[in-house]
Parts: sequence; structure tokens; C-alpha cells
Amino acid sequence: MTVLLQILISGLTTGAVYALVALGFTMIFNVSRVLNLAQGAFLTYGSLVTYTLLVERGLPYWLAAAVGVAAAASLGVLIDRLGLGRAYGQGGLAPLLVITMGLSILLEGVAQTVWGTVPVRLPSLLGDAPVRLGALAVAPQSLVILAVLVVVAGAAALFFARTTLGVTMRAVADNRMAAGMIGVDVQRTSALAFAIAGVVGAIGGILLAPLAFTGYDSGTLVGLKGSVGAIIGGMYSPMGALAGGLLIGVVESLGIGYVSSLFNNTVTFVALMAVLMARSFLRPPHLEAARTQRTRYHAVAGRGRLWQGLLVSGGLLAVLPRVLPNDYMLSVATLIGVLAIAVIGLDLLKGVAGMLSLSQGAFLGLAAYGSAILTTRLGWPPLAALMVMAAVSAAVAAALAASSVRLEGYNLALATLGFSVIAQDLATGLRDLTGGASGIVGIGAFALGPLEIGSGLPMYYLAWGLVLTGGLLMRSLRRSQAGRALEALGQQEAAAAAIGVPVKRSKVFAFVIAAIFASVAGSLYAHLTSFVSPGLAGMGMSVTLLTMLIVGGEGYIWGGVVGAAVIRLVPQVFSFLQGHEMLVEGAVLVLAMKFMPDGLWGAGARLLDRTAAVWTGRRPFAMPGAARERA
Amino acid sequence: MNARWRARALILLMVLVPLAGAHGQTGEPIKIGVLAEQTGFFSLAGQDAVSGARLFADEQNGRGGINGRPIELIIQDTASDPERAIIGARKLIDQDRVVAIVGLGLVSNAAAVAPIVATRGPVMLSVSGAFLPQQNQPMVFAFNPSVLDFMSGGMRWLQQQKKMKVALITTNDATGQVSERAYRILVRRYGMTSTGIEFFNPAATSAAAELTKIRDSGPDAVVAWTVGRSTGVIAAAVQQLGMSDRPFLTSAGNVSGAFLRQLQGMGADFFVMPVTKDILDVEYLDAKDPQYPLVKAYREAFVRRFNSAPSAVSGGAYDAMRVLTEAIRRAGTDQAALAKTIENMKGFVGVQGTYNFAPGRHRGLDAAVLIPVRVVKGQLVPAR
Repeated sequence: MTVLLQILISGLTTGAVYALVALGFTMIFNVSRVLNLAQGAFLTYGSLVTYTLLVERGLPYWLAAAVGVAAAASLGVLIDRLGLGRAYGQGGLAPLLVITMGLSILLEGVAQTVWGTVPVRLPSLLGDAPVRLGALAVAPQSLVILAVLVVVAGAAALFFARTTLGVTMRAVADNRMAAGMIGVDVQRTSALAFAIAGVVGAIGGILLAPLAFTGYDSGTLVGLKGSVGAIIGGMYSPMGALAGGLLIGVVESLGIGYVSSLFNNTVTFVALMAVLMARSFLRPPHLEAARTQRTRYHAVAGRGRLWQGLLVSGGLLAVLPRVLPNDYMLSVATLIGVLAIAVIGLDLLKGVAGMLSLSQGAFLGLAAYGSAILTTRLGWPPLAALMVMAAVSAAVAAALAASSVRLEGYNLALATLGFSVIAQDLATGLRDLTGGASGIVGIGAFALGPLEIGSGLPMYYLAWGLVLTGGLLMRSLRRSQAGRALEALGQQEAAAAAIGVPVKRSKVFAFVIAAIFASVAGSLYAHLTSFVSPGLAGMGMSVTLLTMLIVGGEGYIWGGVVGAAVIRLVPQVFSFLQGHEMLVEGAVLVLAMKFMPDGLWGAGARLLDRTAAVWTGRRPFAMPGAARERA
Repeated sequence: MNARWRARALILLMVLVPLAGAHGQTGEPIKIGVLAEQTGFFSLAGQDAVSGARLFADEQNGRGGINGRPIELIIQDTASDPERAIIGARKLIDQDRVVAIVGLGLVSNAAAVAPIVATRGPVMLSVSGAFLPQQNQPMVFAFNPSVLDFMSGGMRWLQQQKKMKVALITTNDATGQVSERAYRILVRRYGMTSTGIEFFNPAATSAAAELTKIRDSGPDAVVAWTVGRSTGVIAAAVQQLGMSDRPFLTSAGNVSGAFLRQLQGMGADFFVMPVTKDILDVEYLDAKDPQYPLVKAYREAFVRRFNSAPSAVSGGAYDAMRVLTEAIRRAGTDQAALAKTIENMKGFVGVQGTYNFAPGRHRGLDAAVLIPVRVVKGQLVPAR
């Protein structure tokens, strides 16, 4: 009984902080239609600014905390205005998501530069001596956190019910356009939502720092868990978000206490996926999902001059190894090719069918592990392992897709994200099979039958050969009936269903094809790097693949290949920054998305078109992405 | 118009910058790669490895370098991520053509890189205690006592204190896996009873649930084998649960001046760490100890240069650089000769202890060099 209570208290304490994050997260989502992945920065900056003023400058606690909270609020406004700014009008879930992710990386980099990497601690408000209730020992700080949560919940309820500002925010959340028409300053309301999210986030960060320490990277995971809480709470009400956050904290704590601490994220994210899926089957999709969907005009597959293009790029790829100065550059080029295969697959899912999936990395990891285990432990030939893993990935993808077909937009993104997190947890936790966190080392070279491929030039040609083949396959797929059905689905699901597109079957099909591409990439990746570890199967890889696609340009087939190259090369080029590459990586993501919402491929195509138009004196074609519904 | 130019500029930048950075170079200096966890969850230790290597390289260059050639350090971040470590190692090998790779304090990073350099080099000098150089990796060496040795130094002390019921809490990463293995061996070796083993996520914000289970299993002492923020999370949970009446054995990886001050600020005096001599203030050393003058000079130089006391990892990196320099002075930069020379070094006095390598014994230190210490008023003093 004591153990249960102790575990509950610990869960409620963390849960209360998740709840504060969740509150800010839903406010931003409802007012500005952004899933703010940079939410963790509010906790980090709030607590670190407070630390500097309180511990290093000796200011009184209340003053230091007030400045810390104000700093986080200003940061919120900065994210809204400077970070997102004009990107709002360009529409689309994914570019905004990539921008907030870029901001999250950038802000982490800035915090690292300013505060260094040593974790620091703020003093507890009421001292560290535990309060004893019988056998139960409670940190006074836990009580402070819970009390503050109650106060914040009350204040939020009053704010939304009784104040003009609160009502205005609800109006904007309800109907942005109508609110704007009756004279509400929508932009200012959006900035306000970010500022309030900054305030509550900073409060959470400052209150948590005595228990969990704080540092440049400490907000990120708390921010993510808080966001999950918001989704479980329903995303549409502040009280739901608070409850969702608390629930996540308690479920996580119970999972650790009674299941296993090796799988603590699994418990949380299984709960998330269960809630999302159950909800999607119990009630019709929320209208909002349909409203935020935009009509978008894709590049029609194959409009370019295919054969010239293939000849030129094939030729360039063939001579590239002769130009590259050393083997390292060759291995980087090969790795880019391998990842590009997975990105091409993801494009069918995201770029064509409009399904925001964050599970592509999990399939890549699944196959990488599968190939590693089958070849090193069971002595299978690499090609057989690759094929078997492709079939396994296809089966898993079909099951995942069948259970999440009714999810749309952000909900699908989160369910698939959950799948990635679970995959990583399993890779860490199933230690006898996967080697645990240490992973599997010494995976042999890839071979086609008796033909050893190695990791040098032959592997380079194999990878890039597969990129070109995969792209061509995708091109003909998109011209087929099934491909056009997916295209219709990506434009307007309801309309597509009305003209007879089999929605469920098409979605499952897209998932399976994408997973097969990821799987092939994963098997090659394992042989190329000779090493697999849980990070490969996780959220990080999924987000990276999505970022490559969006930065390169979704819907263009070859856009993702360019994206893969750019995203992989940026840290290489800036490695002289010695541990501060995050600054550049984040900035590149934000800038690329702000100024090239169609990605590099889209921007490049437009550039070529306009240049040609100037040259010949004709009017420029209306390029894809130019005609957009303004959200 | 404007946006288009910006887009163009960005593309041009992306095309031109890699081209500009791509050309290689050769020259007079001896290039040594420092591959370390400058960011990510192990950065507390990783940054100190870079400091240790930097300090020695500057000192040696002040003395005229190695055989008249200056040392050029090429520092590469692994972000505490094994994939990034592999990519970083490939860069150091193929692009920078370094003579040796020093660093890799995190076991997962060291284990990922070791197979790449195993037989052909460049020689790898790891400062990870959890990483074990394999027999089939002649180019790979380690410069810290092993986790087993570190933990053994602490458990021996627990045995002397008659704390025979122990429990383990560690992170659910590669470090935790190695710690668990060491812990199980040592519990048997010292005839102790283990009351429980718990793992938690290195990114978690609370370890209270795990520690509750441990508290209720009733151990006399807890082995809390974690580094950095995870140790802080444990410290907070220990106070929350009122467990500060018993000693918590933890890793020397937590010895970093700034971090110790944080622990001290919360009155966390329940931690006991087995450390090497270079971590302790020289006043606790015997002036006749052969290490004494070296440790004294090293500690003074480190504080002068970085304005903080050296940590466990910086001493390892410093010693690795010293051994490497001596080996290059004797054998030149040929990889096979270099590895052979290091392998046959005996009685080499470093700041951490006296190194004895041999074929099949690529870790130069053992448990004999370890002293259990406590944090008292932000200072480390030998535990009694």
C-alpha cells in the first residue's frame, strides 16, 4: 500500500509538470493551429534564467523566478512572430511542424552555448526535509508543485470564462476567420497564446528543477510527454489537457513500479495509441481535421523531361566517387543514398496520400535489427535477410495501418510517433535478442549471393542504383490507378471516397509500400555502418526522415533525395563548430521551411521555370505550390 | 523578388560551402583526433576529456612537440550517440588521416568505433571504464580502471563498513548494462546480498518510483551507478524518500567541480565515489608517492587553464595523450609499431596511476589505484 501511494505521489508530481506543459500546448494548438515541438524550451529557459539570477547573481527568489517566467513568455512571442511568422499563411501541418522542430534544436543549441552542459539545481521552496505521513515520505516540493497546479487550473478556468481576453481566445479557437471578421486581432491573440504557454511552461520548469535538475537539454523530453498528455486529454479543452498531463505522469509511474523500468516509455505510448485508436473508432473524425486540410497541387509525376534528367543525374552520380577527395566522403555519399531510399518511400505516404507518418524510422530500425540478428546470429545470407525483413515490415505496417486508418493529421502523426518510441524501447529492453542499449556490433558486409558488396564503391553504386530504381518505380506507381487513388485521397479524403476510392485499402497499401522502402534502407544501413543501436529505431530517425522529405520537397519523388543530402551534409560542413552544430542544424530547418515551404526541389523548380521564362520572354508556369488555400 | 534571392542565396550557400570545405590537406603536424561526447547526456564527462587532451597537447607543444613536430588536435563531437561516433571516426580516419583517436568515454560510443579501428588502426585510446578492449582488437586501448574495478573499490569499502545488504539503481542504457554485470560479480565476490536491481531512463525527471522499490527492499547501502543529471535525479529522490541515512556508491564520472557544487548545494553528502589519485587534492597524497609531483603539476595547470578542478575523465585523456606521445616519440607514426609500443609499456607513471600494458591486457590500470571519497563542503575528502 505504501509503495503504491509513494508511486502515485511521484507520478502526480511529474504529472503536474506535464499538465502545465499540456495546458500551454493545447492553447497554442487551438489558437494558432501549430503543434509546438519547441514547448520544452520554455521549461529550459525559464529554469536556467532563474538559476543564473538566483544562484549566480544572488537575486531574491521571487524576482529571479519572475524574470525567468517573463523570459520564457518573451521567447514564446519570439517563436510566434519571428520563428513561425509568415509560415502560418503558407498552410500545411508539416512545414510548421518542421519549423518548431528546427526551433527546438536551435534553442537547445543556444542554451548549450550560453549555459554549458553541467546540470544545475534550483533550491526547493520549502527545504529538502521530507514530510512524513506514516511510512510515506513526501518531498515538500511535490506539495508545492501540486498546489501551484491547482492555482493555475483555477486561474485558467477563470481566464477563459470571465475575461475578455480569454473569451477572445476561445473565439479564435472556435473559428479563426469569423473572429477575424468581427474585429479580433488574430495575430495578437496568437502571440498571447504563445506567451501564456511560455509562462506556464516556465513555472513547470522552475518547480521541477529542484527535483530533476535542469540543463540545456532537460526540457525536451518533459515537453514531449506533456504534449502527449494534451493529446490524451483531447486537445480541445484546457481542463482536459491538465487531466491528460496528470494521467500520463501517473501511468508512467505505475508502469515503472509494476511493469518494468526498462519499458517506461512503452507504457505511456501504448496508452497514447490506445486512446487515439479507440477514440477514432468511437466517434467520427473531428470537423477540425477536415477544415485544416488544404488543397494542394502536386507536381504531376513525370512532367519533367525524364530521360534527360536521369541521364544527367545518373552520369553525375557515376563520376562523383572519382571527384570525392577521400573514402570518408564516399561513405557519407553512400549513407545519403541509403537514407534517400527510405525517404522516397515516405513520400508516397506523406507527399502523395497526405498522411503524416512518424513511423518510417521504426521500420528502418526493425529491418536493420532483423538483418543484423539474422546474419550475425543465424548466419543467413544478407540478401535473404533483407527480403525476409521486407516481408516482415510489410506485415507489421499493414497491421499498424489497419488499426490507425481512421486517424488523421496530427492524431496519425502521434500514433505513429508512439509506434517509433515503442520500437526504440523494445530495442533497448529486449536485451537477449537485441543486445540492449549497446546494440549489435560487427555486422558483416552486404552481399548479393556470392558477390561481396563491401562498404566502398560497390555499395555506393548499389545504394544509388536503388535510389534511381525506387524513384522510377514510384513514378510509375503514381501514374497507375492505385497511385491516382492515393493522390485523390491526399487532396480531399471525402471527395475521393465519394468517387469510389477504397479509402481504407488505399491507406494500408501506401503504408505497406513505404515500409518496404524503409526496410530495404534499414537492412543496407546495418551492413554499411556494421552497427545497430536502439537510437536507429526510434523517434529521432523517424523525425529525421520526415525532415529530409519536407526540406527536400514533398510530392516530387526526387525532392526527398535532395533533402537527405542536405540534412546529412549540414552537420558535416559545420563540424568545425565543435559541439555547437545544433545552432546551424536548427537554423537551416527554420530558414528552409520559412522561405521554401515547397522544399528545395519546389524552390529549385520554380527558380528554373522563372529563369527560363525570363530567358524566353514567356510567362512563368503556375508552379506547384503556388496555388494554395490560405488557412 | 526578395524571397527568390534569399532562396537562391541559400541554395548557393548549400552548394558552395560543402565544396569549399571538401579539400583535404597534408602537412608537418602530427594529427591526433579527439572523439568525445561534447553534447548529449554524457557531455559532462565528454567535455572534460577534451580539456584533458587539450591541456597536454598545449604543454607538449610548448616543449617543442613530438620529435620536433607539433601536435594538432582535431576535435570531433559524438553527441553521445554511437552512430554519430562512427561517422565522426570515419571522418577522422579518412579525411583528417589522424595518427590516433583519443576520447570515447561513453561505452556505447567506444564499442561502436572499436571494430572500425580494431586491426588497421589508427590506434584508439578510450577513456571509458565500462568499455572492454577485445582480444581481436590489437589497436584498441583503455586508460581508466574498468567499471568492475571502480565499483570494486567502492564495494570493498562497503564491506569494511559492514554494509552487506546492497541494491543497484542504474540507467537503462549501455552503461547500466555493464554496471549490472559488474555489480552481480562483486556481490558474489564480497559475499553480499542484493535486495534489488532497478533501471531508469537517463532522460527521466524522477527516479522516485524506482527508489521506492529499492527502499522497501531494505538495503544497508545502494550502488547508484549513473553520471551527471541522472545522479542529480537520484539525489533528489533520495532526499524525497528520506533515504539519506545510508551511503550511495556512485561513479567517479560525476566528479566535475561545477556538478559537485550542485550536489553540495542540496546537502547530498551520502554519495561515496571510488576515484583515482589525480581527483584528490594533493594534501591527501603522500609526498613520497611517485605520482605526487606529476599530479601536483597537472592539477595546478588544469585549474589555471580551465578555472575548475580536473575530473576523472580529464585525467584519463591526459594520461592517454602522454602514453601516446611517448609511443610516437619511440616508434614514429606507423600504426603497427605504435600499437606494439603501447602494448609493451610497463611502469609508466601517469596522473591516474602507474600503467602496465601487456599483450592481451590493453587496460593499463587496475583497482589498486582507487580511493573512496565523499563530498564535504564541495571538496572531495577520503571516506572513513
